[in-house]
Parts: sequence; C-alpha cells; structure tokens
Amino acid sequence: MIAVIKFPGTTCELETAMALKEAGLRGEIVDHADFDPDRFESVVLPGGFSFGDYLRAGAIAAGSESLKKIKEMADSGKKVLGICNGFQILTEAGLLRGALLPNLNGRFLTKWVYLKVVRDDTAITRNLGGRVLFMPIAHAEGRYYGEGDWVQRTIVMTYSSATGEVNEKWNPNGSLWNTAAVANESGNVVGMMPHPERASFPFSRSTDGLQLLRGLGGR
Amino acid sequence: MNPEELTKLKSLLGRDPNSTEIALMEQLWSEHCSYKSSRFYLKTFSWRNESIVMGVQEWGDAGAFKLDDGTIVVLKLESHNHPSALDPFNGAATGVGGVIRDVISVGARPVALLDMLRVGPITDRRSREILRGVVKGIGFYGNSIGVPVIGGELSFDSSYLNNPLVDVACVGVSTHGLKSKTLRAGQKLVIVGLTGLDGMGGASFASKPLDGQDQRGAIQIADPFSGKIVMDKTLQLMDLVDDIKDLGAGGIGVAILELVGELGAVIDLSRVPLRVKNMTPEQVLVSETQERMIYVIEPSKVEKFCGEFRKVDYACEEIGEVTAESKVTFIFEGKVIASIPNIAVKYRPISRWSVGERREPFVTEYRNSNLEESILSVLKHEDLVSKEWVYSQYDYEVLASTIIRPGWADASVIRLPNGKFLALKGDANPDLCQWDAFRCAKAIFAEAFRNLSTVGAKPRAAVDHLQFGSPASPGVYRDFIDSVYGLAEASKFFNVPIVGGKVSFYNEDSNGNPIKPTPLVVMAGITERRPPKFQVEAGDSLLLLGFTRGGLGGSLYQKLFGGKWEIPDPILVDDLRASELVSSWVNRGLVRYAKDVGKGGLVGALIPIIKESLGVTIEIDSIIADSTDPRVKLFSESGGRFLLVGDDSIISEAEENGIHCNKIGQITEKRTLRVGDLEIELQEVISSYHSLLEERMN
Amino acid sequence: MNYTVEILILPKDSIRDPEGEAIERHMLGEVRGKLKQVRVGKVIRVILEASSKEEAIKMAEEFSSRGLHNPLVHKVELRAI
Repeated sequence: MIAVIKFPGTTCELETAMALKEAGLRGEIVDHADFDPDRFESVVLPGGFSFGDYLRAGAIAAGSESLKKIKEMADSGKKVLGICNGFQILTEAGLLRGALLPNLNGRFLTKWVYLKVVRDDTAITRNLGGRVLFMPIAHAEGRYYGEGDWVQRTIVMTYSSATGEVNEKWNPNGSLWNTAAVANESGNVVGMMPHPERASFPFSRSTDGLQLLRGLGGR
Repeated sequence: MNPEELTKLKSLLGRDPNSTEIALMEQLWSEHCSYKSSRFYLKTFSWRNESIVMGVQEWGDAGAFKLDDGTIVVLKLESHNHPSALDPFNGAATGVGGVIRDVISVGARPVALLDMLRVGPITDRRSREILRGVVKGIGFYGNSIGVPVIGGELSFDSSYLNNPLVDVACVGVSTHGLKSKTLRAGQKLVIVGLTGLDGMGGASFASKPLDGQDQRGAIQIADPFSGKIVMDKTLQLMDLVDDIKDLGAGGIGVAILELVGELGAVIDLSRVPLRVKNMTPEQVLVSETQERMIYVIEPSKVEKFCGEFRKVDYACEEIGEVTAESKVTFIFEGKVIASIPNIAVKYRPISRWSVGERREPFVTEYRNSNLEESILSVLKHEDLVSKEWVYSQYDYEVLASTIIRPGWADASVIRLPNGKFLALKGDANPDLCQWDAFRCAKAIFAEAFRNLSTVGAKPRAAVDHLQFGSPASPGVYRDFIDSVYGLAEASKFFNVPIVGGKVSFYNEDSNGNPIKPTPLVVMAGITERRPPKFQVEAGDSLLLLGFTRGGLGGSLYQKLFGGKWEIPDPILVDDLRASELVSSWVNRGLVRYAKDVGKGGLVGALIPIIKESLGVTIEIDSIIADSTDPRVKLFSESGGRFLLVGDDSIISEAEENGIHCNKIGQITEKRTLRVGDLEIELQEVISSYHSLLEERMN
Repeated sequence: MNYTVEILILPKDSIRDPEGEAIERHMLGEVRGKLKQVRVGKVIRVILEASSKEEAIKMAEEFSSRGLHNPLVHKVELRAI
C-alpha cells in the first residue's frame, strides 16, 4: 500500500491516488496527523499548497511530525516520491539536497513540458534512461538550486525539447542545469516538479506519468 | 437607509428600531442583498425545463441542472468589481473565495473556474497594474485551493479605467443531491472561522459608486489556506449537516435572516469566535471576514462536526438554534441587541427608477482606412492576442480533468466524474451592448450557444451577470431592462434556462460616467464524446458556414474605424440550426477546426490558424453575404456563422439543411494573408499574437 | 553620497495577515504561550544617491508610494543603514 499524504492545503491528493490505481497500484490518502508508517511500503507527497505555502513553499509541512516518520522510512530503504509541493517539502525537510527558489519570471507558471530522463537508478525511472516524457508543471517556486559537486549526480530528469535536447531554451523556470527532478544517492527518495498524475488517464493529454508511477510498486 | 425604508422598518417592527437593527436591515435591504432595483425584472427568467434542479425561483446562491445519471452540475457567477478597483490582488482573490464557497454551500464539489476580466486600456499604467494584481489574486486563490481556472475572457476598454470588471464563475458537481433549504426548529447553528474587523459594510459598499473616499474598512484579505480547510472539511462532513450558508455580504446578520425562511432563530453573538478582542456586537453582526460559513446541524452531530475542524486548529462554535418562533433574535452577553420579526425578515424593498427611451441610431466619425490597415488592426488587436500570460499563472491542470485547455478553442472542457464532458464558456460584448442592449443580450447568449457547439456540447443551462452604471440614470436603467429581456428571449428560444445570476449596479467612475452596459453570460453544456484538439495544416480548405449579414454597428471594426452602421439584429434560428449541425459534425469527427465567427468577424476567426505560423488565402467572392462591401464580408460579426476545416461531406449536409456552406479559401504554408490582389505579410502578426501581452505586462 | 535605505512593508495593524497567522499557528506552536504576534512583510533594500540621510529616506518613501506598497493595506517603515 502506498500512502498519499494530505496536509492542510494539499490539492492533488485525489488525482494522485487515482493515478496510482491507474498504474495498477494501491494508494490511500492519509492525513499527515494520522500517518502510521508501518502500514505502508512507500509514500507519495502530492502537490498543492501545504499550509498555504506560507513563509516558503513546503517549509511548514517540512517541520511536521509526519516528515520525521517519512525520513525513517526513507532511511530504511522505502520509496518516497515528492511531486511539486511534495518535492518542495522534501528539500525543506532535508530528505533531498538543494532548494527550490521562486521561478525566474517571478510568477506561477503552468505549462506542458518535455522531460529527459538522465538517471535510471531511481525508484521511478528504472528502464527509462534516455526517454523523453511529456507532462505539465504548475508552480511558482520550482527553480532548483544547489552548490557543489553533488548536484550533477542528483539530477534524475531535465527539462528538454520533444527530441531530448537539453538547453536553456527549454528551461521554464531557471532551474540549475534544467533540473526537473532529483533523487538521493540510493535513488529511493525522488522529488519532481512536474505532475505525473496529470498525465496518467486515458483522457489525459499524455499517459507518460504512469511510466514513472509504476516504479513505486514492488520493493 | 433612506427615510421611506426607515418608516417601513418602523411599521414592520411596530416600534422604533434601535441602531443595531437599522445597521442590520440596511445591509439586508442594500442593493447587493435585496436586488431592490432589479428583482422585479429578473423574474422574467423564471422558467425552467425538466433538468433544472435549482433555478432563479429558489433565489439562492447558485443554479443547477441534472444529468441522466443523477449527477448535478452547479453554476455560480459573481463579480468583485469594487474591491478589485481598490486592492486588485485581494479584491479578485476574495471574489474567487466567495464564489467557491457559494458552490460548496449547496452541497457540491467545486471543479472548475472561469474568469472574465475587463480593464482599462492596455496602454494605461494603472490598468496594467490592476490587471497584474487581479490575475495574481485569482491565481493565488484558485491555485491554492486546488480548483482549476479553465478559461475566460480578457478585454481592454477605457470604459473600465476606474472600474474594472472582475467576474468569476465556479462550477460544482454533486453525485449525492444538493442541500435543501428546509429548516426545523431545534437544529443548531454553527459557525466556522474567526470573525474580525475586516470587510466592514461590504454589502452596502458594493452598492455604492467608488467615490475616492477612504474605503479602508471594506478591504478584505484573501486567505486561501483557510478557504481550503473550510472547503475540504465541509465536503468531508457533508453528511453531518442539513444546510450550509456562506457568510458573504452582510455578515452573520444577513446570513441568518436569509437562512430562516418561515422559522426563527436565536443567535448568541458572544459565542462567535473572534480574531480581535473587544469587537462590539454590532461589528460581530455585520463583519464580512472571509473564510467563514454557517451550518445547520442536528444537536447530536455538532460535537463531531466541530471536533473535525478543531483538529486542524480551525475555530468552530455553536452560536444559536433554529426556533419555531417567527422572529430572529440576536443576543449579546444575555441582552437582546436586535430582534427582527419574520414579517420584516421577509419584506424586501423595491426601488423604482424611471426608464429612458431607446437610444437614437448612432453615428461615429468614420476614419478611412485601407483594407490592409483594417485587417492588420484587427489581427493585432489586444483583445484577440494570446492570453497565455494570464492563464499560465493559473493551475488549469489541477484535478487532472481538464480536456480543452484555455486558449485551445471557443469553449473549455473538463471531464466529469461520471465520464461525460462539461463545456463552459463566458461571453459579453459591451461594444455592442452600448448601442442596443436588447439585441446585444440576445447576441451574447447566441454566441455562448455557438461557442459550446464548437466542442460538440449541447448547451444545458446558463447564469448571467448584469453589470451597469447607476440605475438612477434612465438610460442605464433602460439598458438593464433591455438586457434582461434580450437574455430571457434567447434563453427561451434556445431552451437553455438561466438558472441564476447577479446584478451589479453603480459601476461608474468618480465623475459618474457609467461603464458600457456589460451583461455577461456563462453557459454550460454536456457532450458524451471527448472533444479533440483542433489540428489544421497547409492545404486545408476553409469553409464558412452561414450567411454573412451587413451591419457593423458595435463590431470591432466599428470600434477601430467608426462610421455609420446598422446594429445587427440577431436571427436566433440561424444560430440554433448552424450550431446543431456543427455540434454533430464535431461529435462525428467530421471537422478538424471549428471556430465561431465573433469578435473581429471572419478576420478574427482566422487568428487561431495564423498563430500556428500558417498563412491563409481568402476568396472574397465566395463569401455569401447580403453586401458586396469587402468590409462587411471580412469584419461583420453577424451571428449564425462558423469557420470550419473538415470533410467535404459537410458542405452537402449543410445545404440539405438550407444553410450556406462555401469554400472561401485555403490554409497556406506561406505566412501571408491573401485577399484578392492584396497580400499581407503575417510574421509580425504572429509574433505580436504570442508576445504582446507578455511584453506589455512585464 | 550613496545611502542604503531599507523599506519595510508590513500589513497595517488593522489588516489581517494570514501568512503571519499560519506561521504562528503551525510553525511556532511550542512557543505559543510567549509569542504574542507574528506579522510578515517585505524588506526592499535600495541604494540611492542623496545629499543627506533624511533626503535618502524621503526619496525611498517616494519610491515606495509609486506602487511598491499599497497604502490601503500596507504601512511602511524606513531606515537608513
């Protein structure tokens, strides 16, 4: 069973749970205050505006009790995926390195983007190395930033053209090296700004999100 | 409160009202809450068909229609014009919050928003500032609460320089029926959210012109995080509550008075949870603090209900109960501070205004322009450029059910939980309405009908918003009445009931100049089939369905170049029959592009093709019209027409139905627009389409 | 001479601050007893050329009133550093 954590202000929990079902997995929406980590094999932190995204996106949720439990799960090797606000929470809580800064254009931005998979040793990108996926972003604070040699190694997906070219032209928010998704060293904790659950249904504009979500199954 | 109303109040109470009672009744009898200037005429909309489950008769916060499987679709349209003029960000954001709470109040889950924005000229710095704030505010609230803004309108006109129009529509869905307004004595009244000093006197504020005086008390701060808690918890606990009332204009006082119906209530204001200390009971009564709701709950369920709210640290308190006694009593620390008998609660004042004469046919000075200049002016007009700068700031993908996205087609489409598709579109045409509000109202209803058919949807219901200057001006009042009759006639003709709406008067600048009359319609329709994304390519033939009629009065061409033109008289049967054909073609997969011919006429309808970096050749002689004037053929906005790309078979099918359908040109790879001997380079049009708004707004 | 002026933009006392409330309620819960209030604003630091500190502050005030803050809902505090 996969826990889909809901904080006050989370907006994407319903479609995330439905997308997991579409991927052949079982997800359960759990209130962050009632979260019992022993019941779940993996965790998704869905998108939204946890605690209104006041102060900084994800900052208040990162300090909640549930994140301590999620950290323990991650340390024990369980899979953790943060989508959009979930990614912001994971960086704020220190489960992922780096920071997500306000978009360079200073605005919220919804846009369909192409993503090139550059690291295939993570929970959600096994066998997807080099693939180009199509799904939307929707965020105001998604400009990934980090300092140090480690940054390059964490990147899982980059914003690209439809054919997989990666350069500044395809960078929607000013992320360092077009970074759209990162993972920890062992690849079991992944954060991504794009929304796979919005590209997961027969009526969606794309179903590429399912390829990522399926990775949450198994150990 | 005016002297007549005060006298009336005295006679209803049978005694002198105290100051609290006057303050309370002033809110209830304000234009905003009582519709005293409009209610009489709005009854013209009082008809429905079998699918309507909530119409204007209910006089509720929203309207609703039912699908075959029992799914109910709720529609609500509301503006926040005056607050947005003062504080564009918070004004627009709180408007979104209010319209969402109205949908929740009838027991539905909000699934989509539309925003229809009208501001001053794009060249004006203050207007751009207002627009920036309004868009940011709508995004802030809609994104944070997780309801997608899937479409809308944006146009610029000097008429809205000091009085922007910020209309937001919300659509909700319920699969478990709606909350009925049937109260029983003994039910408890419960409030959630803290009450503060913000937003004092908003109801009467919304009913007054902006006079430049200090309106500080009326500023409300948007808090979508709290709004989200209220929404999620209410939807989660829907089974525990019998009825819900949003605390909108007029605060607790008006909400309770509007709620009780034939019964009564006792409210203890000292139990209302406060944000600031030492508020007077009068302030508690009329405060319009956002993110509050009142619930009607059986006594045994109150504890469980409030427990859920308190779990997320959100104030929840029982403040009174429904009584069989026919009066509403507000007490504070054991003392009665206001007591209103039912006879006064039910009474609504009527304001009667004199009705002006129909406007004279108008003439504006004609500014001669050659065809090339005319075409380019329309193609590059700021009302017709890409609105991506606006909608990219909205999370139009949240809920993962958006099918036809903003900017894709004439209407937006989402997938409903039952697998059907809901199409939505908002339409207004103030440039036309300023000359003839009756014809214009019919025309905008017809336009919305056509727009929905381009995505294959069958229109089911509409909500309206009637926005004008002061009703004290006979000309303005005439426009209001004409708009009502125009909408009502079209609604009846198309069998699309108007299920709810709003009226907003006193939209004028500090010199008392009214805005252009701006009736607005939001229409919803249903289709079984997922509409396709339109695809066109070089070599495709362009088909024009329908007969082009002269009369450029109120058109974009007339706005740009003036002249003496007739006002087109909508022929609704044209709109109906052509729309039904187009809808069936879309559903049968026979068309790859379907565009309503509206603003900018045929030239305007070419823009979605040109923006794909394509060119067009137009054979002007092939356009069937009642005039040989190329200006009529290219710029007429007469109804009943569509520009199409599709299967050849549709031409004969149209003709079998007695509707003209002609090949009028072709899409070309070369990026020029050719009309007869004229060839216009389009590169600049294409780049201005994509970048104009972005560049002007940054 | 160049002066650095900080423009502090805060919600007016009479105006709600949902962000401050959320931080107070959900982040600083453990010190709630002692915490009296949280208000969130913005600091804009400008460097300007002026003949005196007073003039620099006056100039910054002028800038701010040109749309950096909304006088309806915000109050401004200025300090030269």
